[in-house]
Amino acid sequence: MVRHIKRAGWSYAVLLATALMLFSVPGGAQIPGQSDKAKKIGKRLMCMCGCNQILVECNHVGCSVSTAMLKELDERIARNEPEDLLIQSFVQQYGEKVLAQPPAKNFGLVAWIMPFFALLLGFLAIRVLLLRWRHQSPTVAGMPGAEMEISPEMLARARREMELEDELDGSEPKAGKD
Amino acid sequence: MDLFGSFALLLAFACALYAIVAGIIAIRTRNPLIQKSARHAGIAVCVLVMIGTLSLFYLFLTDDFSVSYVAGHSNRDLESFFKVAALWSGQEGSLLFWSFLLAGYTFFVLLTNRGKHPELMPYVGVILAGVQTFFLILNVFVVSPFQVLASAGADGVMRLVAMPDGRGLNPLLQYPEMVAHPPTLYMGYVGFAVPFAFALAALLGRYPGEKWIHITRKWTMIAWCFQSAGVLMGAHWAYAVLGWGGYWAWDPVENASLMPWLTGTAFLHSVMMQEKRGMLKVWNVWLVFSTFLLCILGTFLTRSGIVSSVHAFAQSSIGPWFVGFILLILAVCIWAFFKNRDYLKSDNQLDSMVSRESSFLFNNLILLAACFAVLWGTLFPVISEAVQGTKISVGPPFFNKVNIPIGLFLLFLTGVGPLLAWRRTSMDSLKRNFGWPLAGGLAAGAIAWPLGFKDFYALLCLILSVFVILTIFGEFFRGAMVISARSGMNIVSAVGQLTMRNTRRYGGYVVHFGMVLIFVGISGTAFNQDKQMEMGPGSRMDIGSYTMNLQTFTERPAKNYTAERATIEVLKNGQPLITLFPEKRFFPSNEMSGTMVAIYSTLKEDLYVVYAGRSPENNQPIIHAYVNPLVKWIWLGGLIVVLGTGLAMLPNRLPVLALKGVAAAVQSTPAGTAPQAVMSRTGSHGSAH
Repeated sequence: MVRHIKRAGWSYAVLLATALMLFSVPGGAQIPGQSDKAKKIGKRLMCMCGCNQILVECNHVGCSVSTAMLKELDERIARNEPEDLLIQSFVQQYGEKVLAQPPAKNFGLVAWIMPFFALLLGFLAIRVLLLRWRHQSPTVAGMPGAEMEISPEMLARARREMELEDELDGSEPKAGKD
Repeated sequence: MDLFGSFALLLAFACALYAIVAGIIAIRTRNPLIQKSARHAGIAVCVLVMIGTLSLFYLFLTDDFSVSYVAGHSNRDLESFFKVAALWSGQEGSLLFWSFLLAGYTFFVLLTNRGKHPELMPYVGVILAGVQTFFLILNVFVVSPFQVLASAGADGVMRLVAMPDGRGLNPLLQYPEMVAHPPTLYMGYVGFAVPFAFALAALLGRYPGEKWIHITRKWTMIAWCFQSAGVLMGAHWAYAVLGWGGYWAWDPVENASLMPWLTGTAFLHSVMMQEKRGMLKVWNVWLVFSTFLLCILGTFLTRSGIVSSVHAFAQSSIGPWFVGFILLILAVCIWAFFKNRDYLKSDNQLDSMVSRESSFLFNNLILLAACFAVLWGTLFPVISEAVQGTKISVGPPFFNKVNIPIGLFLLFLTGVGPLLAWRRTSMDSLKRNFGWPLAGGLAAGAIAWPLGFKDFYALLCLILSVFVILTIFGEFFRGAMVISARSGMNIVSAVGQLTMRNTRRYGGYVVHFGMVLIFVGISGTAFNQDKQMEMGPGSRMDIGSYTMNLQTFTERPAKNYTAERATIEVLKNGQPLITLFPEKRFFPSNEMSGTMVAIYSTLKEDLYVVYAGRSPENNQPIIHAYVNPLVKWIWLGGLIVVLGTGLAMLPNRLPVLALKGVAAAVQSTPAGTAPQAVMSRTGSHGSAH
């Protein structure tokens, strides 16, 4: 909730100064998972509380699972464990589902390959389709409802409209853009 | 009132069955009386479903806790407008709300098309009644929202009971946006049933001409507009309520809403090829079918519990019903397609690889690839569990890695597509149209790099965004200059006239502009910062250019909850800026907690502050602060997308004579002659973008 208030006046400043003197705490304590490395590695792991969220993004108020996992992460970072080894230790503890993305090996590799394989197939299909279309001569007849007689006035108006359209588009004449 | 509501739904179910049977007989016999009767039955279904839904609203507003659904999702202290929103907060109510919206759409479709399209409307009526029947089966027989509470007495006889108070609404849903977000999103989901009905009806009835595709496109635009607004409102709700600092987590519920949006977007582009050139008919029909199937699939995924979601509020064992319905729809679509596939034969072939047509093909490919990647990622945990026995998680890193390149290519096509001509584009034209925008994009990249835009994707997104914006403004400017030169009006008026001359085309450009802003906003994610600290009164946290001084913690009792509120003075570059009040709320009715994020939002960045609870060790409050650049651009872009869609749906102010696909033939005809060609006076679907 955002509450915009006007800038502090004198009374506000005095109140603030009093509060600061009364409750002066020189910086709050740090909580787990706050180092850059912990944030980086924490984004590669899922929170195991069942929230289906990234470890460093679990938003459950007072989530004990993410706190414990982040503490463990901090401890392992403090011991200078290599990143991959550290991740592997979490996998041994919680299984592969602790990884935020499928591993690029075994069946996990299928997850990565399939979207791009589908895209490649799509490209190939379009290429085949385009080539097939190009080898067939374009047809004009058989257009939906191409049976109406046009009066010369209508044709003249159409011509004017098309000239304007071409000019609006900045396209070469007879391109038929829009 | 619960009996009244139940009976209304039961009667609606009977009327829906009658509408199907009478509709089929009317199609077979072409008997106008039976046709009229089927239509009236369809309208009666709508009225009865509306009565049923209003009954449930009444039960919520009167705190009737003898009804199980009301007792489970409301309580006496809940604000009245949240009691309205409570209707769709659970399984039973949200499915009734589906029925209600479908009834509204059907009512509108049947009334506005009364006496029109006599060959098409009986099919449409039967299909919509069929979809309605499925949901009414769920509403009446499977997950009725009108079930009452009962308990066995000492004599073993079951008696009705009423709870003194309800369990209350999920705290995550007690946010003003939740009153608007689900209805908007559902209007999108349900709305796709209408184009589906028209497309299937045209195929089943071999409806002559192209009128059906115009109707289908119009209804798709309406559904697409609601879907866009609903998705973005959901993202905003997630941002403002869930308190994890982001707006999109690639959660199955979010993915389910995105998939039909992607295929719907593909259809809105490829439909132009059918309207302009009579091409891609098979493709378009299947895009419409797929979009509706994805709406149902998404509903199935999020309600069956097959995939776990952070915000699936309505899970139960109704999955098999949805699987059956999906298979039934698929079977009908496949049967209709194979029976009448010759009806969908293309009228034209492609003239050149460098043309608007080929850009639409690639646009469709990219949108469908994105859709497939989202579907694949959403289902992969289930697939992996089925194949190897262990579940593999698919979180945001996967979706981002796969979809960001796809999205950027789509952004590139957004700039390229509109500048290509139909049929063929020459190299001169390419150079003329692309030179300046491309140079502008590269210049923006060259300026941004030394300013700290080092992230590859963010930099590429910036270059492409500038490129697309310049192409869009170039189109407006060039057109306005022509109008201005011809009519002598000033450039601003000329832009207005140009836009109203072809609302679909220039409305489309406005939508593209909105999408670019959304992309820019998303690119800001690369520069997010966050910091979490235990903070007592007097503590200070520095993040980005902000300094936050925590002043006090207070308890604030409210009608339905108790809030712990932090008062944080924010300074920017040492100067007082604002006071923020992040809250943690406790709801005694269901013993759940929720957060209320405090956000200071500017075009440059958001300062996003969450009161994340208290430390279990020393009971100190924990404050989690984020600096999220450019987030506001996403909401702004979303607003522009909706406005642009609205503009594109307006009829052209100046009717334009459109030459359907035979422009070249007409142009090459000597003046004074009258060739066989089609000319139509277009209003609402004028000379298309």
